[in-house]
Amino acid sequence: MKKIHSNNYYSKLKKDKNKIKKEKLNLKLKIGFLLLFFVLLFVIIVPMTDKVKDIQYFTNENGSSRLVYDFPSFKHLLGTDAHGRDIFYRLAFGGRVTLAFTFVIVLSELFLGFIIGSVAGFTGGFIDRILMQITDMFNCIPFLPLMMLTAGIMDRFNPGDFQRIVILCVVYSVFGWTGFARLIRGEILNVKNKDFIAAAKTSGLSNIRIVVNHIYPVIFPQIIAVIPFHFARVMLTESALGFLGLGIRYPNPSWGNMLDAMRNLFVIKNYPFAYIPVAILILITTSAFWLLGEGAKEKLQKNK
Amino acid sequence: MTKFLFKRILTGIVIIIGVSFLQYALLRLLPSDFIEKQFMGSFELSPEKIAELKNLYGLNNGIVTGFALWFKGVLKGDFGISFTDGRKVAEIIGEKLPFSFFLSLSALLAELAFAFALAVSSINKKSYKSKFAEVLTLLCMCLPTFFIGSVMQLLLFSGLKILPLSGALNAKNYILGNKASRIFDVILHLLMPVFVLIIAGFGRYFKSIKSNLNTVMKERYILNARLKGLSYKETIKKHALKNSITPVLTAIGGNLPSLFSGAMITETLFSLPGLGLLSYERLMSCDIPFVMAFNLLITTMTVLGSILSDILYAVFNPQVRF
Repeated sequence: MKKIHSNNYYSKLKKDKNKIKKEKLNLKLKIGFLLLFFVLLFVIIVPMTDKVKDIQYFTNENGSSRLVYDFPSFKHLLGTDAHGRDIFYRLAFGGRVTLAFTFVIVLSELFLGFIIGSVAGFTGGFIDRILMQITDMFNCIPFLPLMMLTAGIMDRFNPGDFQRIVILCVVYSVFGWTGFARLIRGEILNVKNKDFIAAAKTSGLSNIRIVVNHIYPVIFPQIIAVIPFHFARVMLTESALGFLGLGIRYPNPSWGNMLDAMRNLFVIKNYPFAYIPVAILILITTSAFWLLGEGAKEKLQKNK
Repeated sequence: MTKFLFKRILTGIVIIIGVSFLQYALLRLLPSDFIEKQFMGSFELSPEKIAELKNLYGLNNGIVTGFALWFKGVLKGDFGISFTDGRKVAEIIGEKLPFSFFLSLSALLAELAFAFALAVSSINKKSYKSKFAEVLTLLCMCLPTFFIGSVMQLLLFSGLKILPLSGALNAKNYILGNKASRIFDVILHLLMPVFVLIIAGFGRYFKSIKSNLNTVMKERYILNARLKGLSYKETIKKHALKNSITPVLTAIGGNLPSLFSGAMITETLFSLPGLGLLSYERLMSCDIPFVMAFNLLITTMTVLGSILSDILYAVFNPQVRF
């Protein structure tokens, strides 16, 4: 038992600490985190089970003797797809690929956007103008043609599967960092003229230290509210790319890939298990991110 | 103000030239050209004839000379001749552009109207209408476009047999029908794609309108209008909506290029004869003049869109001055 001396300044602080209410999470945040947690559980744990080695989820080595578009059964929960591969396990592995892809892209876009936005916002003047022109240039590149070009190049050079995913990540983040750069530059411009920055400058801190230690904590809430929406948008574009055949190619599973069953009206009508679980999973994940974003926004508005 | 416009237009032109050069370089640096894609592995053409063809098509120039030639042509108004067709690129784009533009424009207007209506009903946060609006936007923003399109095709064509599956016109109507039946047929064919575009697209407008509307409703002039005696509906119509329009304008300026580029996914799904499907095909076959002209169009529209949104922002908000 700790001895707390009464009526000391520090003992009063300790007592107050126990009384401070913890800030509750928003309902939206709770639902968002819950959904995301379940999706991550599914995606991380299912591929680690022992049954995976027996199930054909990746390639189809037996050729046409495999059942194509098999209905859900105990052997294949959720059935098989057009090439006889088990859909349930493809969902799990594809989830890993898609989520990792989204995560890496958003992180690299954040990184690039942070660097360029902070430099442009804080330095100002000529460098700011040049960097903003470069951002505008990158903004004007149309997305789908760029993706088609990369698919064309990769068709010719035939890289390995992993290299293909890396190239896609690089191209996508090169395309998409402009939004973050503009946002961060705008926020820094808002904050730059305030007194505490002048105080930091006069006390001799280097520029980088001012930006990292003083400006970023002020900007952070605004950016946190935008990031989950970006996750959702990247995930949706990844599925669109997979549908068009421009993203991750089979035999690598990916949620966008699995939706290519929807090209055929016959499949849509007769084999709903081929695409509805995928769509539901995409819906759940994107709504989880969306709810996280909305909840973060609401909490920030309340704190103001 | 004019000085600002002048600067923006100048930088815009520089951006257009830079981006066009980048795209031309990318297209030329592709490993397999248009001719190789057509004739790869065939016995008809010997390598000398292939080199001759490449000279004819202008694929043997250096990148900078090729770009300079193309740009000179553009300044004169000649956008070149498409590789696949042999027709003028300006003609091809001019044929398909009104269709895509009409489709995207009608979808945009309907999206805006729908987003406004939903935002107005979600002012009072605790009512059921607002929760319904939020859940609806959530569902619509989180589904991929082609999923919505395919499900709608399934429901309305295979299930209820109301609307036609794809294309823009029935052949019978095109040949035999009169103008009225043709127009009616086109509208019937376009209903599903427009509906899909609306469902997929109203979410982002709804978000910005709602947040702006909430800040506007807390202003004092709204209270003043209510105290004067205006009903709830009238205050919203006369005061709130006009003041919450600014994010919509910036969003429209940013979405201007998509009005012209066509909605590639929806057009592929519904096989509509618009610019999206065409550009997809031409891009896959590396048809350089067409792709360059198309990208020029989109880049110009992007630059114009950003300038337009800034101008509209200044028009609607007199406090903003450059």
